[in-house]
Amino acid sequence: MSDAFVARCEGVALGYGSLVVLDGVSFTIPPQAYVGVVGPNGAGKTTLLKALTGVLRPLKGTVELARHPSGRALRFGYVAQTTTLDDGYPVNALDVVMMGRIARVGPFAPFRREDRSAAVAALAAVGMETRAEWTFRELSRGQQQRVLLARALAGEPDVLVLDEPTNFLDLRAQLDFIHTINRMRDERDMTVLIVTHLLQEVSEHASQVLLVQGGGVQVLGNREEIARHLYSAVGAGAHGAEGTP
Amino acid sequence: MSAIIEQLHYGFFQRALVACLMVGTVCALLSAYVVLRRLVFTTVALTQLSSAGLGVSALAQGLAVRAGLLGLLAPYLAPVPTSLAMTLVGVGILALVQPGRRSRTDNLVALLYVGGWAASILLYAVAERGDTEMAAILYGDILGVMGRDLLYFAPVAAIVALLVLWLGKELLFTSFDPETAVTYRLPVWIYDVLFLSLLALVIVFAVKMLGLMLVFGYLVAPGTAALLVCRRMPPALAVAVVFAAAMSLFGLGVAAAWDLPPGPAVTAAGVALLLGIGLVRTVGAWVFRPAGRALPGLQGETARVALLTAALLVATVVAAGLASHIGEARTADHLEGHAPAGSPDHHAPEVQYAPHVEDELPDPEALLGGTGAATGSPPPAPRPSSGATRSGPAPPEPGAPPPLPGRRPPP
Repeated sequence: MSDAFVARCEGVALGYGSLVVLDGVSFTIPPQAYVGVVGPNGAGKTTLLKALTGVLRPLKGTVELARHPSGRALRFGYVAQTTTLDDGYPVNALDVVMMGRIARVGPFAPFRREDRSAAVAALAAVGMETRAEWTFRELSRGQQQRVLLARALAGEPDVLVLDEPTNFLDLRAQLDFIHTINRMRDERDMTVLIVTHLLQEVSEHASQVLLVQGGGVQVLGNREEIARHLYSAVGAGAHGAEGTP
Repeated sequence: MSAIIEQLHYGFFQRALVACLMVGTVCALLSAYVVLRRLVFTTVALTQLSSAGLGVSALAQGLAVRAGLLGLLAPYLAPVPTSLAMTLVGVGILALVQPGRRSRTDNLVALLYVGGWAASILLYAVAERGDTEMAAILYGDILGVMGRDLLYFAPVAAIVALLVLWLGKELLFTSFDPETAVTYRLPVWIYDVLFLSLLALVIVFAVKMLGLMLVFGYLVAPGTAALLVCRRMPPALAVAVVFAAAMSLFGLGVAAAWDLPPGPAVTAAGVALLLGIGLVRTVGAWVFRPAGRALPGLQGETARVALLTAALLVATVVAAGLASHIGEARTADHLEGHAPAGSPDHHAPEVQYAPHVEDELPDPEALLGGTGAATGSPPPAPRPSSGATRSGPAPPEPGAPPPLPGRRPPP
């Protein structure tokens, strides 16, 4: 990045119409950071992600996004929960990953050979190259989630945003997925924002934690601070049981 | 079969076939997205609004004729612009409400549907010859398609088809995962509105030619069939187009052979083919898997599509041939005076062609001082009508081949 931050929030209020979800939010995300976003359900984690990706305009304050050294806007790769998708679509794994290249190709133009190569490479990076021709429905939840991660990677993002990507996965699939994320982050100079309930993973790997709770955002900066605050803070929230990794 | 081929010698049947193939092709391309985007009910609502727009035009033209103002107002009261305006209002209302996609829009779509339906009935109830027009709009007047209808529709169909194909990857992404598409800076809302607008455009032109029921059939059946058998979008679009062509040929063949109204016949053909595919798919699962293991080539997408296309073609030819054979037998009975009591051929009343509003109305140019009906030129020939509005057979022309029972003469 050309600046010493990827995103910077100053006195931000977020919400929808007259409904204010978060208020008085101020923090800075440095480049190549691994940011965990935690908090009880309904606290505003996804709303915060929408603001950081530029999809949601703040009601108040400023959300400043850095630009790439080349001058272009930052590229985001986004991974949501598979449960929001209709797996009855006639698409195979490669088709889904190719969607990640759409922003680079533009409308009215077909995919190029290099787009296909990038998609195949992204599938290989998440260990799904042998499932490229499988329809999305034929994949398990964990495999679907890996394909969505490959789609995000295919766009060669500067910032990888993951919104509760391990929900509805069994424990092994969760750990596999998190392991893949960590490996990707080591291999590529990406900033990672992850909304998750896997507190142990967050406390071990995150360089910064945004604790979203009570209409505000608390920034926990170092590992000791994270370890000290995280379990007690989230455990005291509405969904204390969810905090168990 | 010869009876069907015989019908192809007539201009009205050729135009009917071309209209069905054109509308079927463009609707089939939209159909897959209609089904995937769960817009089936929205499509019904838009077709009803289109019908209401045609009703507004019919009523307004009648009132303008009575007031002697048709020459002045004709350009503003034409059916297509009126219907398009009405349908786009519906699209606009849906576009304003849909952005979040999470909101409950079912009730709004239902209101548009019943509102359009009620407006159609009321408008046609007070419009001159509204009952005839209502039937034509509902069941279609396929045999009454004019050459200019096809000329107007051809560029619309070409533009819509090209846009759907060119924007295929964006339409698929914004349908499949709109939440993520937004983060890629894709204007999801614009693609949603664009798709609904393309749908509205096709509906308006197509409903005027083929009627509500058949257009709705073309917008649902091909996509449903294609998604039953295809694993990827490009083959699904190809299969949808083939399916639409098959239901057109099958339906028109049956209608020609059995002297049935073509609109309902083509629609019923689509439903029958769809049920057949559903059955074959279910049964095929038992057959194809062992066959696929034995012949690896059968497992590929291309092989599946090729097999389905071949099956559709064979089914269409066999069904049309069977229908034609039965139809010819009925014709022979009719010509020999053995029409069974109670059949449509028994006590067939004298021919009464359903007049068409466009034929009834004087030529606007003539009213403005040009030549035409108002200056004493002979009235235009009656338009051929479909079986839905025809009530008896036309007399055969000297030297012409023996017509099917109730078949009107070539224009």
